[in-house]
Amino acid sequence: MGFLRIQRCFVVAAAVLLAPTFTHAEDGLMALRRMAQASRQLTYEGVFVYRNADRMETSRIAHTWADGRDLERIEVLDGSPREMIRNGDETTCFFSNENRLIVETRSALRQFPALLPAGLSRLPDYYSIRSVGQGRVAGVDSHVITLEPRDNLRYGHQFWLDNTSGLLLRAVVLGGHGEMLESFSFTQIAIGGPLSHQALKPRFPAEGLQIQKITTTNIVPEDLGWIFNKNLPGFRRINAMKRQSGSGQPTLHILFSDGIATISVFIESRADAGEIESSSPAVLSSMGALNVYHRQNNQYFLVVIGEVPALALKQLGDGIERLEK
Amino acid sequence: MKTRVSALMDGELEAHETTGAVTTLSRDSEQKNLWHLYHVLGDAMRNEPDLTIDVTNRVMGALSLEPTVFSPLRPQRSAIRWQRPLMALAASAAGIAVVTWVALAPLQAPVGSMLASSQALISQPALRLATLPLPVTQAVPPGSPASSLPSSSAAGTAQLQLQESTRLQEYLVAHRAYEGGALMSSASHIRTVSVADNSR
Repeated sequence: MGFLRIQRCFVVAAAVLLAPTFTHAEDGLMALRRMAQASRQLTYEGVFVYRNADRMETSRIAHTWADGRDLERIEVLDGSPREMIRNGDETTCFFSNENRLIVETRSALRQFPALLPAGLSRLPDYYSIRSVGQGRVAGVDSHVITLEPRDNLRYGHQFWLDNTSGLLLRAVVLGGHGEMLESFSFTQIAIGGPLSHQALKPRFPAEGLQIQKITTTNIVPEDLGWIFNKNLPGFRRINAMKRQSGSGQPTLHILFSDGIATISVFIESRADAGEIESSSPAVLSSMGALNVYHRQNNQYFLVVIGEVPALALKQLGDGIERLEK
Repeated sequence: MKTRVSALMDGELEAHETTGAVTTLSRDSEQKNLWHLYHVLGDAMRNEPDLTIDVTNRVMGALSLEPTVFSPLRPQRSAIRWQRPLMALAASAAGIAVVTWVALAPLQAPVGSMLASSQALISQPALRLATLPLPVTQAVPPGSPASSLPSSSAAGTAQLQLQESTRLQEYLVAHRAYEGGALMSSASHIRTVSVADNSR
């Protein structure tokens, strides 16, 4: 224990000397921490608008926290009916166009010790965090925090946070030239509940659905069978799991995060891959701030998804290699 | 006591136990100290640079509250959330909307502009429309990368398109599911830090 104490004393001394330089970023960090807490634990209900270069959609949301679980329902109000229900570790998505219901049960992380959280204290290494003033969203007074990336592997963010509760009321994702990639903003919100009757109740039909249930199990790093040669600075591997849907081949899902953005890597085995697939080139696509990168690796198909620049996905994706045993 | 704090950090308590443990933790200074100690230990064992920043921040917080009582062992209340998981922010942002919306986007979403934007970003890979959730009827302009696909496979490609788009939809849901709090329920882990280096 001794060495820790000595180190602490040293750090305390350093902190006193450096105090003025810390405070600015600290304000922003504090606000972000509060936001994280608020968004998860508050009860709120409202309507928000999502916007990117191509489209704009309005959705209704209700959220609460009970018995240590998130309960949330989001319903898209424009276009074809779609709905997402979250009940603790279970996420259910309904797509009316396909009459499809996807039920994903999230696995806990405890079997994957390598994915230890870094907290948010490292954020200032990768983003310049600033508190930039006051604003107003959906009639609620808020303060604005900006996160400017220090490299081109992540996007910029702007958050409007409720002065009272810390809840995120508006978020904007900015590209490398400061252009808006997407935004969401509440147009109406009631914070603190109680929720209106049936606010969290699913509305999708109970019958005639094509239901796909996905169960996931955590896997330890040694069993992954893949290596990531090009890790992105600031992004840590936070989970890896095997996904099983029906009787098909299981898929691997590996998660990375820098605290703000998340990247998912999916690896599927396609033993029956035909000619078309084996010759398929890498593919990139994007929607708002979310990018998708596909790549074929022999009989494996890699899909990398994340709200980071395509460049970052490609870098990570191209460094994925099968570990030959 | 110790095992309970440890279990809480590991995210191994049941929901109702967690509430109790957190309540006790917030009131009991001895437990609070344990909590910090475990985290600092964990950081030290993992050789995390966070160690420095963590303590600094905590001290700064303590300073602002009680400038005369200057001790790392008297942390401010918010320090309990200090080791808040990496995903916390991503969760709160996504929890509200963005990725959710994308996951809920209809399969027939217009993706033409996606290609343009990503093409500008990365010129190297040949872009292929087949794996994107495009409506089959949407014509691929001649000379575009997609037209270099073997024409004999048109039917197969259409079939593939459908498969790919449903698969992508599934992946987006999965991405979203974890986006919204993969680490929320699992705090830092003192007992298992010794194996943490294996995957680095």
